Amino acid sequence: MTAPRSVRPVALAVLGVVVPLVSYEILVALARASGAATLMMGAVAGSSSHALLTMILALAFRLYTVVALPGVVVYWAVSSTWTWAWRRRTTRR
Amino acid sequence: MTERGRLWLGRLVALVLAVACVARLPAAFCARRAAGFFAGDVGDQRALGRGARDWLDQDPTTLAFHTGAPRFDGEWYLIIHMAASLAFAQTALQHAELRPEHEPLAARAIDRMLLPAGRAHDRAAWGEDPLESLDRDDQGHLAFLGYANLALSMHRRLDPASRFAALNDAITTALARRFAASPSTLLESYPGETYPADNAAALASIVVHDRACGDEHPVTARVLAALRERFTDAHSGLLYQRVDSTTGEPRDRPRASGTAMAAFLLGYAGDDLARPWWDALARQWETVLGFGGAREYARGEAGAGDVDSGPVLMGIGVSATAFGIASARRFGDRERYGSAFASAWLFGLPVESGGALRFTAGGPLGDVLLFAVLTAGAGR
Repeated sequence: MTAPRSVRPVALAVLGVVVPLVSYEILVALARASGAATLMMGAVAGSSSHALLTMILALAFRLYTVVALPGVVVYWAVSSTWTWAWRRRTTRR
Repeated sequence: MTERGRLWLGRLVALVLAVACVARLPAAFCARRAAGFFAGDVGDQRALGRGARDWLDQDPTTLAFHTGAPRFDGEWYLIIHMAASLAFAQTALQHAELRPEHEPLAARAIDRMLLPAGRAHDRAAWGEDPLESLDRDDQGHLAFLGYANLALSMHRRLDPASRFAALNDAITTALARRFAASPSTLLESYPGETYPADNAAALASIVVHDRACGDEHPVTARVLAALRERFTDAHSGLLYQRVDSTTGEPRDRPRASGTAMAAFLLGYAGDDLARPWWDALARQWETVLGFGGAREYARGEAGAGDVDSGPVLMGIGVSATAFGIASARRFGDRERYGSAFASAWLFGLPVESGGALRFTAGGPLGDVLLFAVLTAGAGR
């Protein structure tokens, strides 16, 4: 079963943009609440595995949303526009 | 061109633009507020101060760390309160409007630093309390005395009538006397353990004390010369991380974390004292996609991270980078300050709420240390 064409971009945007952004905010709130892990200076001993996992996931989502996501969005926007423009040109001919 | 060829050409163009975007945009986004912090914006400093204040408002036992090593627990407790006191004092000196709020907070951080928890690690190692043995000359106690005295000296600079003046005088006198009596010039932090960066803290504390109250301890020139000439690697310009207590021979490699901390602490005594180590640290600087930091080990060398360096990622040390921010600001290096700020903003997981700025990834250590290094001001 596949999603209709009109639904696919919305689903991709939700999965690729909204879910990571919301997940990051939730994980940071959880990390602050747990308050144990201190990753910045490298000493994590003493932190619970739960708090540590939360912090690592938050960092992963941070890297994705800040570093990777702009590239993903640019790639998607340019390639989509390119494809749309060529198809439109071909159809007009 | 075929349909398939046009499709792949489009993908190639998109990929090139995406890579160009990733190479520039994330770092620019993370560094977008660096200029304000670099310029010493009072609103930014107040926000950092509120983030750090949250920890001082809590019961001191909240900051009882459990790293698994009592020594590190004690060191962290001490460093957090020393850094908080330095940060509140330097921002009070920079902005008169912050002084009514930040001066009492600097004193509160010192009060907490002087609680038994702040020197338990030192007392456990030496078998005697560092403050109750100031009349002895055969023990350095630099795991506590240098850092604590720097906070006291900065408070003296902020308030010449500081209620900590008597203790500041007593520790300064003891440190100067011990330096003068030391055959190797340096003092031990723990029995059999000598760290040049800890000695830099003690040296800075004496110089700041002397400037604040018009005193003079000539031994400081001898210690500074020894740190520069004997305990600094001639090739890299970095301080040796650890040296032999008796012979002064290196017991660890020259490293950026100790060098950056020494430059940060000596910067309180004056830019001229910190300059050689900042120059060396600046040569260690690297950027990856615009995110900057200092290499932990000298160029051509590799090594793992430890409790001093923090994580070492692609050769860049977290601790060296964090302390390097302070020197970058003091020496007017906007570019390195901005690139390290971007790294801190990316990996620190910053959160702003209620007028306070906090860094989730660092907990209290991150909040307080970044407050201290981001706002590090002129030494005089």
